[in-house]
Amino acid sequence: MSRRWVRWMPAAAMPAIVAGVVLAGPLQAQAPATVPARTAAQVLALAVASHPQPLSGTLEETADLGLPQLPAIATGGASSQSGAAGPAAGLGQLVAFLTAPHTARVYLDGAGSQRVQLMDSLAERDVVHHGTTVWTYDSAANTATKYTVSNPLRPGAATGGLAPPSSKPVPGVATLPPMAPHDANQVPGSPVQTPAAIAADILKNLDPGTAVSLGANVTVAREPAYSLELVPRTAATLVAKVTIAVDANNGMPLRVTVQAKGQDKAAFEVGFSQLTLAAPAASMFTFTPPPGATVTNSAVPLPQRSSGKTLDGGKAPVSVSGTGWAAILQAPAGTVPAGMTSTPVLAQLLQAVPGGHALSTSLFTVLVTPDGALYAGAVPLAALQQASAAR
Amino acid sequence: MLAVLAAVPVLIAVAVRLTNGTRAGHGPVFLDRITGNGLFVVLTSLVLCTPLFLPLTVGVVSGDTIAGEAGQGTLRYLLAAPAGRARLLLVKFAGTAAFTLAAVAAVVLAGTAIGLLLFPVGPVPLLSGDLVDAWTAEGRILLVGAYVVLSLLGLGAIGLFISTLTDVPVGAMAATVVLAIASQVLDALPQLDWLHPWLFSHWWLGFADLLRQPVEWSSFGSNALLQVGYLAVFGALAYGRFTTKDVLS
Repeated sequence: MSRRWVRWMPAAAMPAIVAGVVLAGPLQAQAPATVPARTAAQVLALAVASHPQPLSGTLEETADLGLPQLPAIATGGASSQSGAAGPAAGLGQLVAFLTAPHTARVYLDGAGSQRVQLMDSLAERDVVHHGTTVWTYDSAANTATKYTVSNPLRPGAATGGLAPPSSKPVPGVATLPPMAPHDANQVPGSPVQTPAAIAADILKNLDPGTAVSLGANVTVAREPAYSLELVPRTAATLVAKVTIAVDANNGMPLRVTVQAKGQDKAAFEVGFSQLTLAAPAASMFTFTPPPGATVTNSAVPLPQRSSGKTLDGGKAPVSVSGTGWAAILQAPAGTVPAGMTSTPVLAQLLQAVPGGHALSTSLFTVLVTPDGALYAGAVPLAALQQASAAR
Repeated sequence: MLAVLAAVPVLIAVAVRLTNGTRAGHGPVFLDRITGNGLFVVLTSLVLCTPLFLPLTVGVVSGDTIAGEAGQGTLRYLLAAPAGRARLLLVKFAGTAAFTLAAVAAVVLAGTAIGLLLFPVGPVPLLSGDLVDAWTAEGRILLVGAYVVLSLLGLGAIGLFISTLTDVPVGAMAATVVLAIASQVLDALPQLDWLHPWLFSHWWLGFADLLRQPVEWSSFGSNALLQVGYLAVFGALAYGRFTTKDVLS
């Protein structure tokens, strides 16, 4: 009998060993980082003064916006059909972006050349920026598009580097996750932004309406980092807290986490899971479309990424009401084409509310009125309905 | 079974050849690239085979290991030899692994051969859009083959364990195959994302990471770790069960 018992020992021990290995891994990674003591203001200055670093790394982006999650197969299919039909396909991408996690590899040479590889399942979307040329490549559709950027991209923003030319600071909206363009052929730029680019957008618009403090030091991608916590002072916003992990050595933002009110899990997070601070090979930034790919030369210059532009392509004038985190973006009537709210993809997301159709997430809200006007902001739906009624 | 697997790339290649190709974004990935480059026949076949055909054959072979002998009444005679049950188990698993290797090799070799035969071969565009020459690409394809073999070893171990539980080989085969499919279904449900990294099928299609430029090794590493874990746990379970089992047939 005792022999039988001994024979089962390995079977009992193996799960224990596996569990031990699994638990030991994260414990080592969470060892407290020893970094020079700095105040919140000093860390803020460090982050603002940081220069783009030559690096290659892997970015993980997750969003938990309280939207219905679709099975991986469905969203994967939607994102790969970008060549299909205009707005609907773009909206499919938008849905995929709002619900699914993403992994992207980022290569920067620190001097303006950039490459982002968004790694889909069995597919990849690339954005290669070198000099005045931007190539986008979609392996699922096998299409390559060449854009010429007239103005050199802003060096501060690492990926895509498209600064929102907003005349008025809109911090709340700047924290929204980057949105997929409604037509991949018209609005390029990277679908995933680096933490540095997002942090730059947030910090640029920092105003007294935000309490800045320092949390416990963290380790991101093996780099010791300060965690800079930005808490809106107003109660009128859905944003509870924005945490920026700032590299203790060079001040580069390594991870941006946006917490929504009433939700434990981060509503949006983008950060490095792996990072090498060295210039990638120059060949990474030269792109030649592979033979057989459909190549488009876009004569249209890269449009600037204006805050809140998701459906209008930046054509309609966008106005802002309110200030700081509780700001509300307004696009006039006719921004949203009639009938768009009833397309199957959108119907899944939008719900009919008094005053139109609304997309309510834990982090931001979008309201489309029956006449096609668009309201958006990191505020509760009621605030948007008020703004809509007041007009 | 190897012939059936080898027939998959041949069928794909002949079908594409006869129908003059397809548009991008339709059908399985890489299918539209075949007309431009024969090496994509292998990749298309592996994408098609990995979720179903390969697990099916591995399930049949691994489910048959012990239960098959028991069902035929030959297990007693095998154990009469002074080799010990642990060694018999090891040899049986080695047989399953060898079959897995042969199965993937059949797909890769048949795919390469039919691809060379029916389509032009030249520099291969990777998922990142970069071109590599045909030899590098063939190297990557072999790497993908190795990845797929590794991916299926965990399933082989599960099959071996199930096979020690029963004397009915068909039951063991079916259970293994059903597990493979159930695991993939669970992997497709985003509500269970905490479970996904623990499913043995989670990294099955991760071989695409070997087709990026530069190669992304993280999924290879994660997959290897996961499969070793399954191998250890189910190998130990199979050992516990088989060495304490009363063999009556």
